[in-house]
Amino acid sequence: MSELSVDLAQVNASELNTIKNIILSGFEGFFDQSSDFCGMNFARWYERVVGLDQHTFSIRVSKSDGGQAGKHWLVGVCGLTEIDWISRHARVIFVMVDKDGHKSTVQNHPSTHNAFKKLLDYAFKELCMNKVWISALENNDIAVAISRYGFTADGIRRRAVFVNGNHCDESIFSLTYQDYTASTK
Amino acid sequence: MSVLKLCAALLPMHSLAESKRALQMYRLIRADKIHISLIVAAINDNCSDCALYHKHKYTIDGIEDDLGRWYCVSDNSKMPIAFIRIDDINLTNGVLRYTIIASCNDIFKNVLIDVVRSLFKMFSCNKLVTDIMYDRSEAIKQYISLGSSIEVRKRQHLYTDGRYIHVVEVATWRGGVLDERIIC
Repeated sequence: MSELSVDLAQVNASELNTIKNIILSGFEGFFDQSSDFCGMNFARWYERVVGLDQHTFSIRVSKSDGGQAGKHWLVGVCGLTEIDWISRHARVIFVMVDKDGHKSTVQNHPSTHNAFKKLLDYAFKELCMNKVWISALENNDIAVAISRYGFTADGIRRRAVFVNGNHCDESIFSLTYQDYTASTK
Repeated sequence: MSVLKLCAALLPMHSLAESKRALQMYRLIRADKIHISLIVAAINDNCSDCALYHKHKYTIDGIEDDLGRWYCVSDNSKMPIAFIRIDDINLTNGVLRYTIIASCNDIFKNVLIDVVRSLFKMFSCNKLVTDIMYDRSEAIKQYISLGSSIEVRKRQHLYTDGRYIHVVEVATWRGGVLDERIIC
């Protein structure tokens, strides 16, 4: 019986091209469709998110078979950016592909849940953040996906992102430490 | 403190004295809770006096910030009465983020329209965005009266005086009700 496990690991230089290819080709982005990304300013987005920041991680899924360590593969990147150490809040970046090709269900995929949960644990337990926040384009159904973690909507930035020739609204969601502890009880 | 008629609204900061005044204002604002949000030092790249400030970061009352682009709002006597920091300009999305400080509500009330007007004139953006502490109701009212709107309520976003407080993100549109007054 094979089991899937998810780990967050420090991004290393040899993975950068893989990450870039994943994001550019088989990308199924959710949670973060930030202004830089949607504005096709990938170079800036890439530098900010994957630029070997110590709070950016690669998401690796590995399959073990009968107790034997199996192959692992890289399925995305996640991390914390725009960290305010005084006020202790940070922006969550989370991009992941579904290697099984079930893109329509990626938001509900167990490995997604595990990776996102680990990132939140890192933010609140390791870095002692008081709040994390995330943004997404309007009409993205991430509200449902992240509500399970206790995120609530803070507001909508109207026509804040220029993508595909149109200005789109951007939704802001946040999770405070109190919300986090309540949702993990 | 009365406000004299403003001269050309936004001016680059040229002297060490102006920079020091910005710092003093910042301390006043933080200490007396008179006004708005975060601020630090004031600088002009071309000023030899101010160049000294570029060499290090300031840490004031627990707030550390990279030195950004600053402007001062002056009255007729060239006395700086408020300060503007340009936090971010996103040309792709047409959004400019800034921070404004003034030493009291009256000054803020008087300079706000000039600041907004000047920013729209100086930068090719469609939208101005700034953060205001949630309990600065007078400042928020001023923005609302100009046709601005609150778009995001950032919970527990700012740590000050030993507690987390809420911050609201206020947006002002070039094409809003301000148009007739801005395009002059």
